[in-house]
Amino acid sequence: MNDAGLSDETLIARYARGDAGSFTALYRRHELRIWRYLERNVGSRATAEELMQEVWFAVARDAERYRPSARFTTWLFTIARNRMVDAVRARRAHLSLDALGHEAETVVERLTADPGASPLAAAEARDQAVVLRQALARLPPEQRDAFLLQLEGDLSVEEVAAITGVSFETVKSRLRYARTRLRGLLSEYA
Amino acid sequence: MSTLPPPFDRSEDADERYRRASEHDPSRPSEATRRAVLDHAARLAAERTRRAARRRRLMALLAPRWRPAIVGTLAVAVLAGVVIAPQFLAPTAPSESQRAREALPAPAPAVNAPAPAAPAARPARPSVARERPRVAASANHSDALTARQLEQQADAGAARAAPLEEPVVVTGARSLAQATAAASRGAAVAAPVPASPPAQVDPDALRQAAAAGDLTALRAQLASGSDIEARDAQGRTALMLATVGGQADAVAVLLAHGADPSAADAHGTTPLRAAVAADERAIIAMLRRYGAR
Repeated sequence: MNDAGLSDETLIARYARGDAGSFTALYRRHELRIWRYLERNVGSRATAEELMQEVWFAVARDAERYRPSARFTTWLFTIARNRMVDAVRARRAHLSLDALGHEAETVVERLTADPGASPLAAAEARDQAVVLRQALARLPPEQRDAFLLQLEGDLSVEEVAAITGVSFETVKSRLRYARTRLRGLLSEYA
Repeated sequence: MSTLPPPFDRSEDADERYRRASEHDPSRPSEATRRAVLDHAARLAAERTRRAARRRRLMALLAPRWRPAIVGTLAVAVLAGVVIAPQFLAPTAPSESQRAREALPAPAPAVNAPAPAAPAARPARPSVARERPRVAASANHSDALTARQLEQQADAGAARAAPLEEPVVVTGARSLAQATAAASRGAAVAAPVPASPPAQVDPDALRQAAAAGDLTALRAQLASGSDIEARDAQGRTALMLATVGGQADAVAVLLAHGADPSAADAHGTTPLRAAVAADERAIIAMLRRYGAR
């Protein structure tokens, strides 16, 4: 069945009625965005893998409870953020978002092993990815979180404020600081 | 993946730089994670499909053509519950003899008691036993009394008996509500007798009820004013017949209503002797409490 033209809300509703194919379509549509949000926030591939499973397990389990009063992506990123915060608070109490190790070196290894990339392209991509990660890692966690929510989740300031539980103005301020800082950091590495 | 990513431009917007860098970031979740997520989702979907099928079958059962049968069955079950449940929930009233025993003072030492001065004089009996016949005696004149007066007398008897927890014999003239009111005043009300037309005075009926242990008929006869000491052709009173028949509850009722515990028959046999001969221990004990010889 071709699910390409169906909205997220339709797909999750169909999955809630037992259509496994709709979930696969949803997963493929949002996999990369959730992955980047998690991995770039926690800076650890292993932790991101665990969180990735938890987030999508929760989506599958709670599909029947989803109500299309909010956009699916807002619901999805709310789950992702809650899982991430829980993981930091409960399972890794000794760590914080800020302190989670950003594994630039493992990224290098992974990029080198990518069979689809030519050596030069891989090197360039690796450089940019590493630069991006290093720049993100240097942002305060609240600013990084707000920035990643907006860029990866394609969320409005209001939606980010609702998900993070802070005011509209606070989110705007965090985003402004994050962008200013990132611009400087990325220029620095360019 | 052979295209070279353009280098960062210093004047570029941060969002654009982020997006371009992200496009060339080959980082992905592992295949194992992807497989675990999709397998888990497929299992849940299969479970939901099974649940939905069960729900559909249930809804089919509740289809309009089956609805009358289901509603009818439920109605019958509820009706049966309403009819049967009170039988199990109704409090069990203590037996007549048990209540009579509890209501009486300590047993008089009949064996060691001194013989009465005169054969005609009755042995001293508990005051309760003397109190009760007043109601019955009054009832003897019930022909001249209104139902209301009878009720007042019965209530007065209940009130007098209350401190001693004497069982109150509820007459047919009293309604269930009145019996309940008497109970709320502290009287230990015996199981109320359903309202029925007053029995006709018939000493034979009284004796038959005593012999058979028919407490309802016995109470009705006593309430209607039947002579409690009336005798049959062999000189046997109702108490004697109840004793011979082993009807302990009837004996208790008759004694409570003032029956003579020592009334001998034409052969000189007293109820106590008859009870001893029949080894009716409960009756022996009751008769002795009332000073039977």
